[in-house]
Parts: sequence; C-alpha cells; structure tokens
Amino acid sequence: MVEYTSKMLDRTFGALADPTRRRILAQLAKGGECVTDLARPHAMSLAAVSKHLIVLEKAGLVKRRRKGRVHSLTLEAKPMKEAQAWIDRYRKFWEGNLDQFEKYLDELQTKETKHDDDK
Amino acid sequence: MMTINNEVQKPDDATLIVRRILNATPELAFQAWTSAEHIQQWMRHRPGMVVPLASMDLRVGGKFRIQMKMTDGEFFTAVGEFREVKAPSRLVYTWDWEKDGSGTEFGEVEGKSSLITVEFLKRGERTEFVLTHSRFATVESRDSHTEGWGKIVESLAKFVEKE
Repeated sequence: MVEYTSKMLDRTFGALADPTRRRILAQLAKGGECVTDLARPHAMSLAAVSKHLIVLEKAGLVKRRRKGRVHSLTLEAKPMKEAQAWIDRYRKFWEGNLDQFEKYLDELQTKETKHDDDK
Repeated sequence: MMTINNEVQKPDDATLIVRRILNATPELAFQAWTSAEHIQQWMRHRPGMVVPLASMDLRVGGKFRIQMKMTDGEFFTAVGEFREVKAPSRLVYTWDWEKDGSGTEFGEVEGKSSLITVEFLKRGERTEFVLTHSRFATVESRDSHTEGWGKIVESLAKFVEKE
C-alpha cells in the first residue's frame, strides 16, 4: 500500500480535486482576472472564492498581484513551462544515453558468449 | 506518462521517468551503469562525443565525476554524490554540472542539484530499468523528495499505466 505522505502531493491533488477550483483555473487560463469577476459565474460569496484561491496559491497554481484594493489573479504557467523544458532536455539526454547503454550491454554479452565458446 | 507525473507536483518542480527493458541481468546492467571503465564506453547521448575521464566512488556519501566532451570540443561534466547504493537493484544519487568542466579534478558546480533514482528490476533473464530524474526548485522540495517522493511518483506512474 502506498502512503501519500508528501505535503506537496496532498496540496496539489487537494487543489485539483474540487470542481469549483478546476473551473476557477479554467477561467484564469483565459487571462488574468480579479476576485470579483471570479465570484460571479460561480454564484459564490467573495469570501468563499477567496478560500478557494488560497488553496490554489498554496499549490503554486495561481499567483495573486495586488494593485491597491484590486487583487488580480493569473495562472502560473511560467514555472510549468520551465519544468517542461527541463524534462524535455533531460529526456533527450537519457534516451540518447540509454540507446548506447543497450547496445553496449549487447556487445558485452556477445563477448561473454564467445569466451564461453572458446573454453 | 511524464506529463502526468509533472502535473501532480508543484509546478516549478519536475520529474522525468525513463523506462527500458534491458537484455541483461540486473547484475550486469548495474555493473555497466556504475563502473567508470564501462561508463567511458557507453555514455554518449550524441554521436561522436567521448568521455575522457570518469571516476566513481560507489558507496553512500561517495562522489562521482563524468567528463563528457562534445565533437566541437565543449565539455559537459556531471558530478554528484551517492545517497543509496543497493547493488544490483537500486541507486540514488545527486546530479549537478560543473561550470567549466574542462579540468581533470572536481571543479566549481552550477549548484542546481537534481536527484536521480535508478532501479534494476529482475524480469526473468532480463531487467526492467527505471530512471527517475527530479528537478527541484527549492531545497525543501528536494528534501521532501528524499523522504519518499520518488517512490510516490513511481507508484502513481504504475497506477496510471494500469488505468
């Protein structure tokens, strides 16, 4: 049985588990918005929306910027894109190395078999 | 697969998982993966490049250094420290790049240390190879990873595959 002890995992899963929060993320994906705009389509109080936003912020999915009394919100796409670029770079690196590693293992085994035949 | 793993994490962290079925026993694969002489023979992510120097102090707390030289003469030198060494099934080590990398001894590193877990799982006469490479945006997230985050990602990946 797997124990899900990671706080990070709990947070991100928790943040994405709620349908309202997923809708908020979908709305933010269309562009930055302020808290009152978000409350409207969900027929919720500002306080309720704020609670959801705090959860999304803690999961690192949403960034809040304050301009006076207006809080504007944006989806944090940059870190995700950077992470993806990192993954792509290392995928090429390891896939390339593993192609050679496989070939090398085959060579090693062929040598071993030859040795055995010589005996 | 890999995107799924990425999605369940804090967005600025990332984990890459690479799997292969190898035509060798875990013992041979482990040996080829961890010994300097073997590494110099196979470590080529691009054709034509070479590994002029490799050193492996294969024990917990021991360090390694792999110097890769590209066809244009540029050096890429990886260094790290072993965190877990369980021959022939499991290895955990840190991974960083030297800033310069052209020297013969350990040099100054970039300081963006990532973590690699390699598993060699016996599958009859063959070996299932699983490499998990994790990038961390903060020290805290790296430390929480060493407490089992890698295992969780791994289990998730298996779970998702079955679905």
